[in-house]
Amino acid sequence: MRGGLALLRRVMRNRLAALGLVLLTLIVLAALAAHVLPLADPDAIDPARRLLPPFSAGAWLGTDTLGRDVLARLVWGTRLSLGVGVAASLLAALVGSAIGLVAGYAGGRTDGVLMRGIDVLMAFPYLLLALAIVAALGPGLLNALYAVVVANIPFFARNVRGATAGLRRREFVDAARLSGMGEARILLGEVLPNVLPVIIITASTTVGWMILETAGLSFLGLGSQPPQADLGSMLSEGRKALITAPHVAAVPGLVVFLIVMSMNLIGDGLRDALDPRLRSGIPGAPGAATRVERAAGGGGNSAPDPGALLQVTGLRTAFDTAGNRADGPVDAVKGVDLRVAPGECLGIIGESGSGKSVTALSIARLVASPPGVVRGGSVRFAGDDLLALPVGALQRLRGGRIAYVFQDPLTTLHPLMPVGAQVAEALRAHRPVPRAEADRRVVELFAAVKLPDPTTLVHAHPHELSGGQRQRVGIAMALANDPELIIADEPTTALDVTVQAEILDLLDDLRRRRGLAVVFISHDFGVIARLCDRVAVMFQGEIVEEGDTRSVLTRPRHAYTRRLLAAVPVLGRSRRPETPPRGASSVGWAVEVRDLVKTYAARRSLFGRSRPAVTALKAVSLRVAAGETLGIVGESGSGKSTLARSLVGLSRPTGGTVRLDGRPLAELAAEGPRALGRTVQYVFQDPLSSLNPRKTIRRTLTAPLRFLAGVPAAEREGRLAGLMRSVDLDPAILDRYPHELSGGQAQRVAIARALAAGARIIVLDEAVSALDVSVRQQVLHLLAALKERHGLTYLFISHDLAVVEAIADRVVVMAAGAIVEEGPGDRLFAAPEHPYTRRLIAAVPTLPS
Amino acid sequence: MRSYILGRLAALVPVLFGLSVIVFLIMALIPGDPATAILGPYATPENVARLRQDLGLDHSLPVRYATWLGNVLAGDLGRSSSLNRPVLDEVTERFAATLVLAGAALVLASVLGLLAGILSAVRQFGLADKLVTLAVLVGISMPTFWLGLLLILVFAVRWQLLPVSGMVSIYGGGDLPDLLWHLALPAATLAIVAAGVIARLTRSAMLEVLRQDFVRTARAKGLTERRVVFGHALRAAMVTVIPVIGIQAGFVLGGAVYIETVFQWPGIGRMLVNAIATRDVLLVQGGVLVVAASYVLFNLLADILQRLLDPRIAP
Amino acid sequence: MTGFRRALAGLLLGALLALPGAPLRAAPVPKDVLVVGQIAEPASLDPAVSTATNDFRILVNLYEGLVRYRPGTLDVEPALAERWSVSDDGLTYRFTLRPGVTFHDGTPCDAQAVKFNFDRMLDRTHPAADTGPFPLAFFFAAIDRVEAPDPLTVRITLKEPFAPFLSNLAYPTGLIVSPTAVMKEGRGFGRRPVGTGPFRFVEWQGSRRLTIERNPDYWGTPAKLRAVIFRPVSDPNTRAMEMLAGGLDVMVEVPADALSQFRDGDGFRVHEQAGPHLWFLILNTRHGPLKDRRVRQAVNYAIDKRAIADSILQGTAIPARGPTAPAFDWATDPAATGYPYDPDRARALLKEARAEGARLTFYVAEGGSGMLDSVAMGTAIQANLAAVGLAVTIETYEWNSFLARVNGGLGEAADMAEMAWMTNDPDTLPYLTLRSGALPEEGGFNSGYYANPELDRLLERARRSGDRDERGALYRQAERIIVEDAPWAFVAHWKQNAVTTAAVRGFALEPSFFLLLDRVSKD
Repeated sequence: MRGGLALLRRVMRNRLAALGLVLLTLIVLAALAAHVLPLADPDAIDPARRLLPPFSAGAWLGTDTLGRDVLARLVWGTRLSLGVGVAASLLAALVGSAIGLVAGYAGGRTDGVLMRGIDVLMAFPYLLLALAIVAALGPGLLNALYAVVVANIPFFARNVRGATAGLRRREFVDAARLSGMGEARILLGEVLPNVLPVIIITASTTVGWMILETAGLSFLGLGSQPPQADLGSMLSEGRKALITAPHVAAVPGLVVFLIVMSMNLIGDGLRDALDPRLRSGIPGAPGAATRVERAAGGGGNSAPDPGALLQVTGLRTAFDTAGNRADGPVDAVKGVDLRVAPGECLGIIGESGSGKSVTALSIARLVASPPGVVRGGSVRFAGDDLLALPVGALQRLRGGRIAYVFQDPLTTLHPLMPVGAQVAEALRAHRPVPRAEADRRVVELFAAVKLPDPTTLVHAHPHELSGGQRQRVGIAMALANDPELIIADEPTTALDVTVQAEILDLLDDLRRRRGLAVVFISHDFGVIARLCDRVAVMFQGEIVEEGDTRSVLTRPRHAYTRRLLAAVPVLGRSRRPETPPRGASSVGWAVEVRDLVKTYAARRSLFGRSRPAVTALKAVSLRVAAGETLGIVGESGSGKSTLARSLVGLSRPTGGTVRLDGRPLAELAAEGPRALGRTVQYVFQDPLSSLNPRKTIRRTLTAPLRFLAGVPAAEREGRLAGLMRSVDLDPAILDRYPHELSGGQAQRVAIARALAAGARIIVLDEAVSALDVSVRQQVLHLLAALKERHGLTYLFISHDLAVVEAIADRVVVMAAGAIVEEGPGDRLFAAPEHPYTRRLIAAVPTLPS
Repeated sequence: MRSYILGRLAALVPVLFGLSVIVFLIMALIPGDPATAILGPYATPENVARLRQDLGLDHSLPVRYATWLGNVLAGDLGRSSSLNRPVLDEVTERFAATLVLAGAALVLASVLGLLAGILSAVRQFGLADKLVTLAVLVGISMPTFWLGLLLILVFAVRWQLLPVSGMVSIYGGGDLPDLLWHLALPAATLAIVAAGVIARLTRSAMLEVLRQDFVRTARAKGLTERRVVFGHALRAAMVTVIPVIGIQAGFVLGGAVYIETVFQWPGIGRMLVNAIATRDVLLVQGGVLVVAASYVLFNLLADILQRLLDPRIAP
Repeated sequence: MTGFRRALAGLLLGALLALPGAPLRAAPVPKDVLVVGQIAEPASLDPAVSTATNDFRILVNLYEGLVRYRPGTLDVEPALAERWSVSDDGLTYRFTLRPGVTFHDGTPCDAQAVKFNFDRMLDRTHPAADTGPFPLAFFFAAIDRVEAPDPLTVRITLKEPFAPFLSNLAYPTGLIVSPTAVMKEGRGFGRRPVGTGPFRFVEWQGSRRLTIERNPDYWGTPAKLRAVIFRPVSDPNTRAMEMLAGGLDVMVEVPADALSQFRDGDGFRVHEQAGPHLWFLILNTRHGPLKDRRVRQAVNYAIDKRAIADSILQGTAIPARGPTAPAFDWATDPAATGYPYDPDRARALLKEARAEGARLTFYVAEGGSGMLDSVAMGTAIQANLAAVGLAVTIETYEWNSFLARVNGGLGEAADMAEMAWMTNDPDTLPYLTLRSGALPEEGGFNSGYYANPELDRLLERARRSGDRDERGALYRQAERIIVEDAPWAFVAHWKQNAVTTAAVRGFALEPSFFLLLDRVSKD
């Protein structure tokens, strides 16, 4: 109810939707009040008074071809048509959505058969169906409606299937499975609520069509039976007098139009209101350059520094969204000063939300605008104030003298264009070189950034490249026009350690050889230390400390810098005294994996063209003692996630066995979700995708209590509160939705869910990787405390060696689907034996000590 | 890609088979048969019996279906009982007319819809956006056959600018300009809803894409705004727009029935309605099969286009 | 930025201009070509096969029969037969054919050709028997044999005297087709007609147009028009708008409400002609409340026929007083009053029959041949009956479903059903639909199960009589019985209409509902 009211408020905020809602409400009210309104008898004929024009005495809207009062018929007809339209929409939505849900969720053959059935329906002339139904059930609007329903089922089925198929592989579905929910329950409880907006919007748009289509059937006498009025039959009756008395058809036509229009308006409003991304108002399409709204005299309040290539003074950038319009825009960057000399590398470090990226993007006015707006300060590049430049001049600078390298190269490269073309475009945007010449230059650039086989690679699309290769393309693009300044925004964050090391080397090398100035944004001190001459530390939109990199890192002056540095686990600094693994003697191995193999079978399609088999795990064996923390380290593609998912049954191994607490996984799984879920649990990397966005924390946490632990309803409240407190959360947030939580809070909820049913083995798959440094530290502490308190066994999977070193008793290193090295943490990091392990450790950026 | 197309085409076979069985059953179920339809009020039992024998209606349903299927596999769609000519001839002629109408409408809808959608996305919240949004809203809320009548009344009867009905001029017509002249009103009427849907979708897809990181990259490269919008954003948005155009093709084909009636367009929609009314089983079968096949092929075409555009989708 | 805006604007403008950028108009229709707006695509142009008035309008210009209706009447006059004689027992008809007449394909129209025409319809073993079906072959069911003693003489012998025989010969079913063409085209003949008429067939483009042109070898006065194009425009509104916009020269069956446009407008001429048509309700005399004659009479009194004809049908029909159309003036009593609109009388009758508040099921057709504005009329009748206290539930059916339900008899499912007939002789309608020998179980169209031995006797006698005055007296007698028993509710006789442009000369509608175009010209 509360949700409904909130939704209504959100819909009403959209002025057009509000108009639609008001209009529809009026129409519905008039229709509902038909029997109390002072209307003429809608069925009383008076041939002598036929086709009276509107505003005639006794007939406000005139009379129809039989002399009946159009107004009375209109009100009663609207009542009937609305009822039929809504009923048909609901029926079509019900059946169509059910088919779509099942097809989208089951996939495979079920999907194929159902969708072929939908094809049959879609191509079927529903007129024929209407005739058949009327033949079987007799004429009448209600019977004809079934035909319209059938004709509209495919529309729902297709839309819902699409939405469902997208949700099927989402992590919160896996999480629900691990919470002991059955497939039917997952479908209805987890998937359906997320598909519901699609259904509601589809339904709201179809009501109007339904009225129109039943009108169409009235043409063939398959509609309402005389003398009863519906809008459709009024339209078709009025049509006969269209030339002489257009009002008879115009009036019902107008009402149909108004109904359909208001439904569409409401549908649009609903769509916006139900889209969580649009909750805080609809952001606009970003323009070519960030809006600049400097107060008078707000810019250039300091003298230009002739020695600086880039000089940022008092930069203030804000986000102007509907959500904060009441109290004015909030500055994300609050007066930042920066100075970069030619050939210098400046690092900017900070946690998420510190404003470091906004600062970087503000320089060439690339902050999305709306909602971004630069509110003050100046950005001088080689003397010009970029904030005052016209867009054309700015476009000549961008990619010319100032180039950017962005964080995630998969999303920052155009997914549909060959990478070579994208780089060539950067070239040609600034210099009118012939295409062939540009192509040749691109190959040179690719070679310069050490991309293998550049002549072939230029034709590849981004998704065909590895993360490292994509980032090299991004760098090549930045270098295309020999810029003087490169602004790199977390360019290595999404990369594996070894790749990161290579990219950093490349950047460093290029910078020194070409004399580039670099602004390098990162959250990682190690990376900054490796590359930058100077570093600026940002916190809450301000630079709290700036100076020579080495001195800032070794002798931080600001309390925040100190706190941040302390929170960073640094490889080799957190070595703990070895605790001998408690062997299998007393409780047995908590986890025992023997010769686990996972092969993705070669796919042979019916007409040739096949995909070769892929082996993700090559006979992996490992054992974890009860109460032990086993760290699993590996780069992307090493098979560590497949291994983790195999342990909880989310991935079915091709060969080998898994035993949990001495019992084979297969046996546990056969007993149903309950037995498995009480033995082992899983924490996903991204809490926001592993928590159902449309369920409150309370409902998410209730699932394992109810389905795994079998806690009776009366006791659940107490257990929930206890659970929240055990992960240091206030039970008051139980009724919030995931998007209302911070990343750290959400991950704590995910941990609480894993603990809820009392499972002793927890698989943590990159569980802290998405968290900020300081939050990460808190969560790691929490994990340690929980382990202590409950005697848990952890399998801690991470790509971050320092974090693993800090938490794991024993570590295995995986590469290419196999374990290459295994040993106690301190030994392994101090004296790695395998060359791969050595390379890995060497690649980790370190802090100067 | 080839195997994908072949696979999809193979899936067409069971669809058409299922469809033909259902159509056959329903035609047998609804009251009245070709005999009563042809004989009308003069359907004496004697006349009916003779005609049923002539038309082969005296055999059992399975036998009739099997005969029909056998003939179809041999490439013979049979002879229409109401028109007294081969079904294939009639269906090809009518379907060609519908394709012209639906094709023109779809092209018109796509061009107008895309342009309007882009305009309103790029000028979001501006005057152009408001105008387009309003026009789109009116367009998708309009009862099409009603709109068709209004357009005829204004453009053809009042102003006499365009023809009232028909596909070509009744006397001496038939060349391309003449066809286009006759197409204008029905195609525009038919296109209006589809154009609205496409415009709405293009707008939201463009808005979505314009917020993507790669658009920022394109701007960071120093590309002009035109290049950013048309070269980068639109290209990516088309991936979501094209399947919708495919679905709209289906709706345009379906909506053609009303438009064909209002504008007396000699298309297959009207033919099907007549064939159903005269209980012309074979003609209904032929028409339904062609419409269904074209519907599936339209969607296949859209999928192929999408796959060509988006290399990420495995062929 | 400005370049971008200009590009967008240019594209939009181009898209908008692409539409009306086409030429303004194709070549105008020349003066010697007439464009006729038809109500539908013809079903068949084989006169033996066709049953639709819509087809007849084309057929009578392509073909001729042995005899024809004299223009403006339903009386027969010579056509392909120059003269004929009837034997005294009324069994043998001897026709002398007009010499030198050939079909459009050059085949001579001789006695053998005429014999071929009748044998094809009546003899199951005839080589062309499978070119049917021949739904109206029963018009000639009385024929025993057709002989051709010499090329110009046709002798037809009947099994029993059959008074409407000559009139049936003048009906389109009696139009003579070319045997050569029939043998060549088989079933396809219906799409490639060959006759002897003043026009010959040129081409038929499915659902677009059908063209006929002047027959240069016509034996009589050649047609004035070089060609006639028939355009099927099935939607009445579109047809009217096409007429208003100048796309048609002649339009038939103008929707009642559009008629005033043409009456008021300059440049158009409205033509009207009453014909032998009856629009009535079949009343169920076997089951339900209407079994009682008083209730049936009450229904007749309750219906405001005048309002239906004048207001709803806008004067395109006249109220009916009985089963026989006024077009058969010799067979109907001009003084009979039938059932004037009298709701009080209806209430009294209902009270008397204790049928107040009776519930009736009423089958209403959606369209159909001759059905006029069937739904509106049904609705008006429903309201009329409600006013006298009869609760009527309407069930509407699409025409073929309707026929399938009604032709087999109303049974216990329905109490009333709409129906309309167009006939060429006063015998046809009552003989096919009111005789006890025509009950549905006997294969007739007596769907309301009316049976009256006296009526049966009268009808038999009338169809055997060779004397029109005697027949007239018998039909007037039958009419009185039918009106009194009220097996139907008699509602309206259609006055068919057409609109021509003022430029069309020599145009007239026929009581037979035919459309004779050989005398028509355009200014």
